Amino acid sequence: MTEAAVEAEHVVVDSVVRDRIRVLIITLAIAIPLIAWTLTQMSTLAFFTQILNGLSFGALLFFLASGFTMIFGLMRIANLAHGGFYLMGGYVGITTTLVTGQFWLGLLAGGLVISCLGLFVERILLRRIRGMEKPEVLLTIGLTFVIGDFSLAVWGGDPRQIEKPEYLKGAFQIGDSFFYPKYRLFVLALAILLGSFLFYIDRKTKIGAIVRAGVDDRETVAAMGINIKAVFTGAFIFGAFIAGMSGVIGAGFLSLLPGEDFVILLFALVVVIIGGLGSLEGAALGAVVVGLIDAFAKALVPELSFFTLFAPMAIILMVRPNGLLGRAS
Amino acid sequence: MTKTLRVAAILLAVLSMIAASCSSSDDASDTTTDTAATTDEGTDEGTDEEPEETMEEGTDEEPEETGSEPAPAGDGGLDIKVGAILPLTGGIAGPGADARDSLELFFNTFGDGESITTPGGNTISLVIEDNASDPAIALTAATKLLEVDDVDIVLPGILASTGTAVGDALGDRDDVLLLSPSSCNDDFTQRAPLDGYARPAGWACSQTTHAFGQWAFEEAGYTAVATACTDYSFGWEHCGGFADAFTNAGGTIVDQIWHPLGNADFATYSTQMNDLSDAEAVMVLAVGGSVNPMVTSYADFGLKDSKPMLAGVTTMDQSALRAMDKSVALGTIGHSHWAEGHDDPNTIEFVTAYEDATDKIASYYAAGYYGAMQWIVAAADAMDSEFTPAAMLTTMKDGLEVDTAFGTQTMNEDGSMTMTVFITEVQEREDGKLWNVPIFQYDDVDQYFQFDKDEYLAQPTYTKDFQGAGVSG
Repeated sequence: MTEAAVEAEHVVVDSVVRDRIRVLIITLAIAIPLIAWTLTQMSTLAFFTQILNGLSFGALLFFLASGFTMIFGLMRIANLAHGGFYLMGGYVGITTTLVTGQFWLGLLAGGLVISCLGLFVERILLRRIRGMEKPEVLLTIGLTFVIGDFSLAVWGGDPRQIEKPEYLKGAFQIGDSFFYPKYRLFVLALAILLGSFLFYIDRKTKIGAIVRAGVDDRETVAAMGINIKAVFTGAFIFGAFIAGMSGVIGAGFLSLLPGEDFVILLFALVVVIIGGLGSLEGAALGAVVVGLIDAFAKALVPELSFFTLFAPMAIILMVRPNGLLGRAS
Repeated sequence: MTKTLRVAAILLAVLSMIAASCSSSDDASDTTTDTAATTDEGTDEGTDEEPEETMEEGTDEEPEETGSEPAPAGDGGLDIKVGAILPLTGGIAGPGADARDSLELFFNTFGDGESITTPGGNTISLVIEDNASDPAIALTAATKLLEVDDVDIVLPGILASTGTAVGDALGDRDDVLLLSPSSCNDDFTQRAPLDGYARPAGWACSQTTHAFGQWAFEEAGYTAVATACTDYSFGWEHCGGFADAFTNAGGTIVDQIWHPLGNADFATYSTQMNDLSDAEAVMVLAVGGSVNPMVTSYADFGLKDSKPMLAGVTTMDQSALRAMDKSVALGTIGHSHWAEGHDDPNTIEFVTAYEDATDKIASYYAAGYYGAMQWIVAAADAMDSEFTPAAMLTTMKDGLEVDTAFGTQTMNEDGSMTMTVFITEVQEREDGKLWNVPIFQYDDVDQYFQFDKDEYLAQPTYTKDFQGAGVSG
């Protein structure tokens, strides 16, 4: 590598670091006064509980958003059927758990069935219209309706929840006044585990390198002899797997019912747009931000809880069109 | 060339699909008229006989029960078409399916699935339309029912939003009768009554909570209660009824939490409720898909033991209870005009028949639509004139007593019900399924209950800003 190239790389790295620091400073400048004001509105215990609420809901959103953002980053497909994957994965998990009595089997089955569905969607449907943005969007939206109606026909319209194992039911208690649902702590732990795993794969393995290279420059990756189509399929299947699994996880504290696919898709979209489309760190940051905003806005300004979710998104899009951690394409 | 061929083939396929759907809908309406014309002979056949006997028993008693002025038996021969606009898809497809199943059960039990001949010799037929849980689609469906199917009676949707949309559009027309067994907007029978509208087997949103609020203070002994209800008209009115009655009896509402319709994650609200140290109990309302997350969250945050839940009508309704975790729901105190575990013979008969047909325990939606049909049959047989919406409404209000799945009901002059409100407890049935069993009941509850009608009507409709004179905002 020539000296000039090394220097250029330093400049790029420096600018990225400076950019991240700027995001951090702005975030803190907004967050600190907000936190101070919030503390005057509720007890300290309630404040910390709300933080946990935000983080655990954000954990579920991270599951969903990480798959969505990976598929988008690599394939430039906004897979709007992701909400449908979530819904159907959840239903499959519920049925499996009901039949086998095993929550973990349900979790696995939800992921596996949806990854098979993902394989079909990518191989048979999406491949024919690769690169055509509008047909891709229409196809994935259409798929959501098909999956929704199929689920309605099979599982009915009553809201469904999954039967949790005994050790995840009820509250984790400290002292007399602090209760926190065990299941939400479990979801939080699972998300941290998944996040660490994804970051490890992304940063330390060859697969991660290929995926990152694919996000940056698909053509060059293909020219270097890597089967980019196989990478696409793999990424799509993996994204679908996490989406299916997140449906099962969500069925433990939310309800599955017709229409929930669009609700959860909306949250996932907000997360990836705030965090930056195609960025794994962005999905994590976006999930935390959206989770916290959702928890606190409902408590402080209940009438505006949807406004408070979308207003920050609009502002962030105005200031940083590529999201907090997204890079200009 | 191939492209042109392909386009032509697609066009042809689309056209043939349109033609097929048109002819099948023609077939359907043909069958309806055919059966309507031939039911007199048709009903003698086969399995229909037995259930018809049951129905005759039920309706025969009605004129006797009316006592002083029995409704004169009509000559029969009326041909009444009922259109039901139900959410068969969309967010509340579950309750919609319950309502459809109960209507199908009614028409299969007493007729051939599409029409029935009443004991009084009248023919009643049914058309069902999907509103996709959406007010705009409900309006389109209502127009279709009126213009194409030419129905005489419309049963509007389940959600307050679809009920209001259809009510506003059709409520004052004189060529159609609007009968609403589930959507319950107070003012349709109170401050802004609609001419052609009534609630057979239905309720006003604050009607049941008036009784519940009184019970909470007088029988359960609570003095300070918080409420957590859904933030739209149904929630305001349902919660308002409770808050008004509870404070009127002498209690205090310490705080009111409002959660948005369709909310999924309830951790925030459970945390807030945990923070309310003054509240001895919380009256909780959630709707549709929000119910299970709310109830689960309530239990998971340890609230079930520290602040007992007082459940709103939809919170512990069978439509939600079916999928609820046993440990979470068991023992919860709720209330409703429907209690599937009530040992009234009418209720038992309906619950058994419904469960045999659908494998589900009946929800209040199922009971409501079944009850509405029982009302229509009873009123048709009691009419002594040609069918007009106004004439049927007058018959319903004229002291008619109808044995419905809920028990015996009468209708007031404003089109609302006088009925029993049950305080219920979620218990485990012998087969392990959960259901609501009455532990206390208030009989003859009308929509004003303990309040003076004129004073009540002089106060504003319950909204988030007005929850009763005794509730400080």
